[in-house]
Amino acid sequence: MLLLQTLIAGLLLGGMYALISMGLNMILGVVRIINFAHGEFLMIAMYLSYLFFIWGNLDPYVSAILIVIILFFIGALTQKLLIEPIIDKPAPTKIFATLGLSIALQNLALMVFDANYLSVKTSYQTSVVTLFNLSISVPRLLAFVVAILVVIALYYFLQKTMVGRAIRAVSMQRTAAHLMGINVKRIYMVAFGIGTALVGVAGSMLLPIYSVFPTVGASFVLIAFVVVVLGGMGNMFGAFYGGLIIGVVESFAGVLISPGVKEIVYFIIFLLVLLIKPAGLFSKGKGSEEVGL
Amino acid sequence: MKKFFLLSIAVMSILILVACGKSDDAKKSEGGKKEAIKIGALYPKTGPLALLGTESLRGAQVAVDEVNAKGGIDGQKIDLITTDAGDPNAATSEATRLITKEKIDLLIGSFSSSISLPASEVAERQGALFVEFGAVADAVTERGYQSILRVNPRSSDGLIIQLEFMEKVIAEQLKKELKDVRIAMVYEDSAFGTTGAEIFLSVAKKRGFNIVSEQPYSATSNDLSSIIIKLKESKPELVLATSYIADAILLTNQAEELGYKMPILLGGGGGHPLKDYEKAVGPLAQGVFSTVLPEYQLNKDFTEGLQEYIDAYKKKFGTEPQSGHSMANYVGMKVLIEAITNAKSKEPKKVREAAMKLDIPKGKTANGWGVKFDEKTGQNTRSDIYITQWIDKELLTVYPKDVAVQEMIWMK
Repeated sequence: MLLLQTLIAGLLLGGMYALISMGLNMILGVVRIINFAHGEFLMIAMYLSYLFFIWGNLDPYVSAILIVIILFFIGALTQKLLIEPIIDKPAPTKIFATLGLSIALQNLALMVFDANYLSVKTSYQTSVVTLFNLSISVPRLLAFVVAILVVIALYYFLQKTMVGRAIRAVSMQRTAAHLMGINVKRIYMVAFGIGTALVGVAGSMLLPIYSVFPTVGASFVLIAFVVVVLGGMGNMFGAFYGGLIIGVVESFAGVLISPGVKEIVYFIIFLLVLLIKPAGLFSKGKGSEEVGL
Repeated sequence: MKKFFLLSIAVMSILILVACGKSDDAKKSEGGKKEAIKIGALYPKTGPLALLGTESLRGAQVAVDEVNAKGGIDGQKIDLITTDAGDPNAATSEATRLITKEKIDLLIGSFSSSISLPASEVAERQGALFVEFGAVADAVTERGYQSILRVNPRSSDGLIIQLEFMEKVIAEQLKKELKDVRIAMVYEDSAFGTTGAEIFLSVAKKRGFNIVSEQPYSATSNDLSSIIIKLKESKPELVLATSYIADAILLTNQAEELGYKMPILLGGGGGHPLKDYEKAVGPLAQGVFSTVLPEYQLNKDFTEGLQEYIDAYKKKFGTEPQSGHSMANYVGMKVLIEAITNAKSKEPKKVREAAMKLDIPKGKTANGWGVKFDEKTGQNTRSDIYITQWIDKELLTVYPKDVAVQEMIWMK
């Protein structure tokens, strides 16, 4: 019983990790850039959701639609204005660019919102579904369900639509795609936009559960990187399974060993994967782990 | 080429004029306004400690405004030079800069022991005086330095009150001896949480307490369900939690999510007594105890100047005080100001001497503290931690009796 509850807690947590990581996966897999500001985009999404709630009385699950659109444009603009000009510059430039963006956004949030921990109050926030003595939190369950829906939607998008296939082509071989007539710059913008929009969904799902404050991104972004590398870059499903694995491992480590070592356990697993199968557990094989720095 | 030449001449002349202008002002100090007394303030204004760092600084600012409105110290206004000491490195460099470049020998701060320790090291080396108003780690006043004074109580002082409260109030409520009470400890694993936990555990060992579970965790964790699951298993009657705010909120919310009814919860400062905590968890905050630096619902007979402070804060900042930290800094700043006034000098040694002579009984300051510094360590021996409880959305002081506004409530 105890173990079953731990498993459920882990899966629900993993669903959230998956949701946050899929956006990063898209950006890392297609544009091949390490977006250190990913956590800050999550923070922006959460703040926007909070504002929609306070000013417009919109439930976070409803305003999610607006936030997805807004974040898509933020992502596309970031790609166009920040990344594109430096795409052929040496690695440190790109690292500094997104790292600088991350710091700038954190402090911008601090200036605008202060360091307070803001949260929304909805009627269903602490609702729990009880099955056979197991407690399942409703907002977390919803986040998990949304994560599954997102993966399915992404799958169809990437397999069946023209843009989706163009994105896959660019992620596989940028030069060949260019030669085939694909506008690589525009695809980068779309991919970055989608990646950011995905983290926008995550932010909306997270706000009923967590408070938002300027450095909230920092606690999630590291896990997102672990999930993406663990699951294999370039593989959407990989990020989903990776998220679930990390969530479950973290949960069990917390109960069976001690809450203090939760992070250690999954980082050790992460290191092992890097040593044994560096492209990630579900990757497409060698070569896809090379990030274009 | 010609344009560039003209432009650079123009820029240089402007710079020279500005520089001259500044030095003229400095020369005007004789016969005219008296020079201001500069005091350096080291607080974390950015980063994870920003919320309470800024709150702490505000208390000091209210004290400075109050004194300056009355003409300052002996006609000299106080000029508080604030800097951002967000982490130990910044603390060291800012302290060094203030002392060596700005020639400021009196420093205040800092809310966090991680900032207080390096900053006072610098002060000791340079012969300056650092007065601490909020950091609680015992180590701050245990190094035998002449450069440090601390107005607020230490962690170990807080522990004494906490044990008293546990014995006289909680154990009595549970109708048991304290050593028979099932106690669970949950604490964040940085210096803040572990120091408190270590100290408590050593006492627990000596007195034979029944610690049914001990769970450290990382304050930046996104999920504390494992803690709740283990608490469900170990069935404690009293949970001692030392958390920052995000984890305090998470712990309370996840207990609810997992269907665990939290028994008596005593928070060790940090996140539990903050307004943002109550706003985030709503009715779940009811009944939660915290050990705190004095908060605002205090017995008015024992706190001279309390309401005036609250009004002054509201006027200056437009909101209610976020936490008792600002008041601790207000009281501390006023103590420093009194010391400087009595010393008739801003020289660190003389100010320290004057501070040692201060003898204010408890109940005569805005938060009920008294003032009597220990000659050897610089620690104020008359400041206390109080116990508060969230009752109907208000943080009320319930212990010790002198400062309590209301009897505690017990959740069914």
